[in-house]
Amino acid sequence: MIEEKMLIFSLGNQEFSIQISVVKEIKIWSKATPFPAAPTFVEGVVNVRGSVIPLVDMARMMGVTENENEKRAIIFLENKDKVIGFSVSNVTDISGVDDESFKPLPEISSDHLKYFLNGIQSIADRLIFSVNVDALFEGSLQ
Amino acid sequence: MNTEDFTEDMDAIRLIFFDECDEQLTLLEEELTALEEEPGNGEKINTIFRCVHSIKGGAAAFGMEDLVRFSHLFESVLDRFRSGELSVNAESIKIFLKCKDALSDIVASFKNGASTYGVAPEITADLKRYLGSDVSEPESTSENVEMEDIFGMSFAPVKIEIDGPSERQFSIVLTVSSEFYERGDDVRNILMALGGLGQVNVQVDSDAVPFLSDISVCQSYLTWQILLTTEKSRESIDEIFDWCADDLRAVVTSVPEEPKQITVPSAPDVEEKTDLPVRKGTERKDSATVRVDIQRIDKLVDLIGELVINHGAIQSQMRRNKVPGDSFLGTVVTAQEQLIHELQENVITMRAYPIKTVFQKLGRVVRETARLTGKQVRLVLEGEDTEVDRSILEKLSDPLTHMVRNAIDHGIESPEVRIQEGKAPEGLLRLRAFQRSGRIIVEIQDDGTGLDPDKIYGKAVEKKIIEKDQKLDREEIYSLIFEPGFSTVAEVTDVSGRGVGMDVVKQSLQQINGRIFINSAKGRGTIFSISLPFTLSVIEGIIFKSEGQDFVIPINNVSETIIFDNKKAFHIGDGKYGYPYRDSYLSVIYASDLLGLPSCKKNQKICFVIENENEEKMALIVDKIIDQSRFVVKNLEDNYRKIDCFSTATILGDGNVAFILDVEFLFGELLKKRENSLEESV
Repeated sequence: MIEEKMLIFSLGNQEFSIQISVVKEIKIWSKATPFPAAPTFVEGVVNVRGSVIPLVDMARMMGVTENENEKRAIIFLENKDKVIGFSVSNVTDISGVDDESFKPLPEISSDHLKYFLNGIQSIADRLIFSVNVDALFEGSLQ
Repeated sequence: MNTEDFTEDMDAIRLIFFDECDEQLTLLEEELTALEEEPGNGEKINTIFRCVHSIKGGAAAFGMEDLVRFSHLFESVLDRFRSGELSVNAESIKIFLKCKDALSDIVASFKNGASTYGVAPEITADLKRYLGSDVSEPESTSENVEMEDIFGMSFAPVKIEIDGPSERQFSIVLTVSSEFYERGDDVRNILMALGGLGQVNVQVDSDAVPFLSDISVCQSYLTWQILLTTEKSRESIDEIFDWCADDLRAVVTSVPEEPKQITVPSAPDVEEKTDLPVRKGTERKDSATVRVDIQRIDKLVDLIGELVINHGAIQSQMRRNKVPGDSFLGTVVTAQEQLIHELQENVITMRAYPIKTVFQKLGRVVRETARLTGKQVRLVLEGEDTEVDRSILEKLSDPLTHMVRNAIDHGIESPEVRIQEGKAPEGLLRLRAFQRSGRIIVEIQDDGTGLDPDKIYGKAVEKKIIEKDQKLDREEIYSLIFEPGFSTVAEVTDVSGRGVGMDVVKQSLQQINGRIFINSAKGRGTIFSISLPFTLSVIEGIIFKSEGQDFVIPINNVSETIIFDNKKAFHIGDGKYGYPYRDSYLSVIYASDLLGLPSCKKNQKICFVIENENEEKMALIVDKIIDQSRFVVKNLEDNYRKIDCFSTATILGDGNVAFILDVEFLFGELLKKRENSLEESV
């Protein structure tokens, strides 16, 4: 595995990471325009410089319990020609992660969570869940 | 220039060549069709000849031998017609059309990267029959290839033909001194300048080039032998060489003109003199055109969309700050709005293409279908210059092709049947395009059997699309042919009826907001009318509020707006309501229900009477109308997926997103609910 810069963000108290190459933009959280029959984890759509982009509550989609009013940022990710915004609690930092620290999830983790994650990385004493971008997009578009 | 640039340049030039080929082929088709109307028109033959000729010229420059060979053959035959040796009749036009189709096939296959293409022997045989035994092979393209090697670049088509009686030929032998290059000049410039006078055929004599070991890099060893065909005088040639004075030696000699076999002193011939040398069909158009990359125009459309949104923001700020509309600022902003709309309209028309581009392609479909089905069809095109947005045009081609095939396969009868019916053996297929109240109407009309309502009804029952004894009026029966799995012909034919049918046509038309109507008379024929929006990027709509959220409804779905009186709404069971409208009752949909919000009925004051493509009506109840305006349409599927109720969205002045209601979907839902409740009651 090649070392790559990762964007580290939090959902509640848990930190997550995603490779920086798919991150298009980070914005302060704002309310989206809701639409009917949307899955519960889709907050609605937002306008980013003339494009209409769906906003997904990442914590809710992945089943990570979290307080509603803790959403402070939106990370816009680009994958397979689509851009989707994900609301997160906070964006903490950018860090290079080497493969030595990359470990699979413990066996007992829930299947739902495993679907969205690649594994666990550790930086110093922090435990960071690495998010699978493809799974994130697949889940969002359901 | 490094090799990479060079390859890129070559690719770019190649693309331009194919673009030009397409233009020439379109023109060719157009002229051939026109020739059918008046076979005696020599001017048309001239144009046709030039089209083929310029394709040949380009092909030679790119070393596409098969294309050169075929176009040369075609051209030689056309020359016989042009000179008056042979005269045009229906038979020859048929052959020409076949040749045109073959030519487009060759061009298409080269465009897709093929390097050879074999033309069907019967087509070449047809052509050769006109020529008798006297078939000259085209000159080899090797000299052009050689030129590419030497210059590292190829320029404009350099093949020439002796084109008109008023022209003279000059043979020019060109050598340059080393100073010529030291001054930074280039032989290409000379050749280009000569090209401006007429048509040039250049051969490079590289015999004097010594072995690599003996070569002196500053020395020029090449000799150019140029054959120039021009109407211009000797002086204008000398003028070009005067420019370079002593650095260049040019020996210009006039080539004695070959005696022309036949000269026809007819009017078209005079025309020809004034026209020559014409190398591109496009130059013949009355207005000048500029070739612009479509992406730049798309970008422009997007930017103006942003501008509209931005302008909306200014207006909403003004409202917030209570700036009166008749203040100076107010009038300036209103004037600006006008300008932006005008700008937007203009840019959108830049993206518009005449529908001709689609119609012309159908000419071929008609010919092939007629051949396969053994029917005789005369195609009449009307309103080809009607302009349609490119994005719509692209999606129009397939459904139209399908419908034209259907019209010939199912509509028009075989010649024998037609004679029995007292009709002309030749069926008529008319394609017509025109504008009506802001929409584009495309009609496909045939004078065939017409739709048989009883047959359709029976078929629909058999295919379980409808229930037996279900009462339907004539229009409803006609529209059954758009149901999935419906096909009136029992056996699957080669032409239409390939499993996908009119339902696909309807679906693809719906994608571009098109609607389709049928009008048919048994034994007299059928008219399919397709109604299309002019553009997909902007819609005229009404913005309204419901439960604090803004929505937009397209204005052409709103047939009337009335004040809603809650007392008049009556309960029709299952939480549904009806509402009196004129002398009938409408089903009511509360906009708040669409959002799944607990509706606060006392806020609901406005009723839109909305209408779908089948002219069904229902009442949509909202809280408040905000404005009527134009909205830039944003596709939701770009970044997300299709969502219920709303097909698209727009961005408002305050930067928020508002959904645009999909009225067809609302009716569909209503229908579904009706069916569900029916099933439940059973």
